[in-house]
Amino acid sequence: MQPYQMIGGGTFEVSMASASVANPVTVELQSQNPPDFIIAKAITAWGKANDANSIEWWWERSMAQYTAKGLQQSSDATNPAITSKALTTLGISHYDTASPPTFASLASTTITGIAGTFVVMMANTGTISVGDFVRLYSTTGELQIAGYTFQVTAVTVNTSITLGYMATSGITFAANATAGFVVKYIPSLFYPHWAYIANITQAAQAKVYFTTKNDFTPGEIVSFRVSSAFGMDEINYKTARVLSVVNDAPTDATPESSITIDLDTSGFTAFTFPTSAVAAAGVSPAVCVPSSSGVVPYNGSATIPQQPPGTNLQDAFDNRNVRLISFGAGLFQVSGFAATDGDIWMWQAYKYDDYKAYT
Amino acid sequence: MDVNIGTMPPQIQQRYNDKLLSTPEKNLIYNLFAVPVELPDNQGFIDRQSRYDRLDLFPVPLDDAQNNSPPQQLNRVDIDCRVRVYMTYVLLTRQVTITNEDPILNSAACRLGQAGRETQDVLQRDNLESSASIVNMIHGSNGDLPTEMTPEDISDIVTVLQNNSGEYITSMIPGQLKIGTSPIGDSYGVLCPTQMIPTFNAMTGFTRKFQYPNVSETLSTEWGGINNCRFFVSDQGSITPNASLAGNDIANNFFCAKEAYKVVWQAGGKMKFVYLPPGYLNDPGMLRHSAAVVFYQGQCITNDQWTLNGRATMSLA
Repeated sequence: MQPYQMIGGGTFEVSMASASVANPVTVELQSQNPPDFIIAKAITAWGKANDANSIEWWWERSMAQYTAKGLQQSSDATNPAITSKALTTLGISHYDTASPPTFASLASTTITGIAGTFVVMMANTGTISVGDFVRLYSTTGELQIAGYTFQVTAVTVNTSITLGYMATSGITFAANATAGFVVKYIPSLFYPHWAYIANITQAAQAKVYFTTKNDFTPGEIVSFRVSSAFGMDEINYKTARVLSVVNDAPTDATPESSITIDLDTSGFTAFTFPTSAVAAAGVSPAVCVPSSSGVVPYNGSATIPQQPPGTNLQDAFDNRNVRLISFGAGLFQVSGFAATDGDIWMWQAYKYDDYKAYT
Repeated sequence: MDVNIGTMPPQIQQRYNDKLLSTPEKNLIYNLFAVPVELPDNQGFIDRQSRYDRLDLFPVPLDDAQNNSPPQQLNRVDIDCRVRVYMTYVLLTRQVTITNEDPILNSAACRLGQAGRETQDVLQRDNLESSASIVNMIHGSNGDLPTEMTPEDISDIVTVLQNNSGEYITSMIPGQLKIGTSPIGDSYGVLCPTQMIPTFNAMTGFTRKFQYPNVSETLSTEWGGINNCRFFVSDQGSITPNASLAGNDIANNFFCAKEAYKVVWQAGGKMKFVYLPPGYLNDPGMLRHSAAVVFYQGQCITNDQWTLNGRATMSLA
């Protein structure tokens, strides 16, 4: 019968932000159809002596997204004891990025714009994990970034999230936001995607910083939409070739998302965000948009092309949407059973041929 | 046994009417102004088109020596578009098709065709949402950012497109001696979600389609026009949730000049309906039919200056 029973599987490595804080793991699933049953089992930790660890988690279609049920083994030299646990959040979920689920808004109390660290204080961080995309809105103060999207680079559960790419850009604001809302969202993976600009340097080869990881590639031609409210309006509607790209992982200590462009901005007005009051009166955000494909530079050089000359096919307009399974951070940071950095797990996803829910 | 309505068996009480009810179908607007491009078979899966940039003007005359001036650099940019494959199908047991009273395979074919066309449109919508540069509506009065759309915002965007040498898509509809009609200027096409309808209806100076002097060259999806723009609406329009300053949903309205974006179809991969009768796909008992729709499509913006996403909130003050 179709579709096939086991529709995907493989292994993944667990990454720990610290001894007790894990990063979520996302794996791609080929199937167009959502899976009915997902299971993950520890390979490294299973049966390992003196290693208190989670060893199995599963989810099936009758359960809510982001939940999971699983087993833990105790720390013992010969006969670890097995206990069970149910997670109500930060568990297992699946979605496709073309029609992703939506999430409830969460309240924030402070966004540290003065210091430029962009830490968002939140009593409830919900399912937000490192690498997730969030949008800010209804902020009290800092209206210049209300409606903006960011990628989360650190989470202290039910305390704060950090918008590290914004912080690395070097931008600071005159005042902190004292309240606001944060909503998590899953972006569409149509490529290339325009990007919010966090900062632009004044340099012979300008560096453009973004609020999330960016899609741009060396050799790509990009264009800018920067109004006078952001200072550097000389760059508005100018095009430039991307010479090099920095796309640090969200887990990096100082995560940076930037491109260096073949455009001299040293004589331009400094880039700055409008004040909160100016933003409230009405501005369009500063964005970088994909324009066309150019010659691939040699190691970031503005004058020397890649040898042999490179044709950039990576910047082709494309639909990169996928179906994903997310193994949430909660699976690997159960108190007393936290994973070890580098632990290997196996996973499998199934589709039932026949599913009957008896009551 | 008494013979009355209460004692009639269900088969007697009911008649199956084989006149099928209509299935809701979405307005398809996003490929309306796309330039169709065919990618020949056996020539890869990325379509590249190029544009030569304008040369500088040369208003300074040659001097009396008539020396040659330095040559200009001819510059070309390339736009790449990758074609992907899309497929879905339904599986019906033979028991269903030989039991059911209506021609269920015909209905399956209709619904697959509809799903295919709506998917093609959504792909273009998502491409525009992803890649078109954004402009916030700011002249409205609802206190949000972006505000609701106003004629001033539309004028601003038309000015930007004109500054970028964007050509109009539709020609003028001149005035006629018909009561209650109003002429429509040369226009850009604007692709909007249906949630924008109340904004249009409340907009001063907006000409509804029924007020055009000549409606023979309009589409059912068109709502009206103002300030050299004609607006088309779809019930699968582009909405970004919680994206405004105040957390309201944002309507993405794509203002398009001529040749601003394209859709690429592979020559051998245009939309096909594929029916497999019982006996295929590991079906030794000949128990199952399958019906599928498959197409190969890519979509991209061909000039980032000729299409703008005019973002607006939909709540009125």
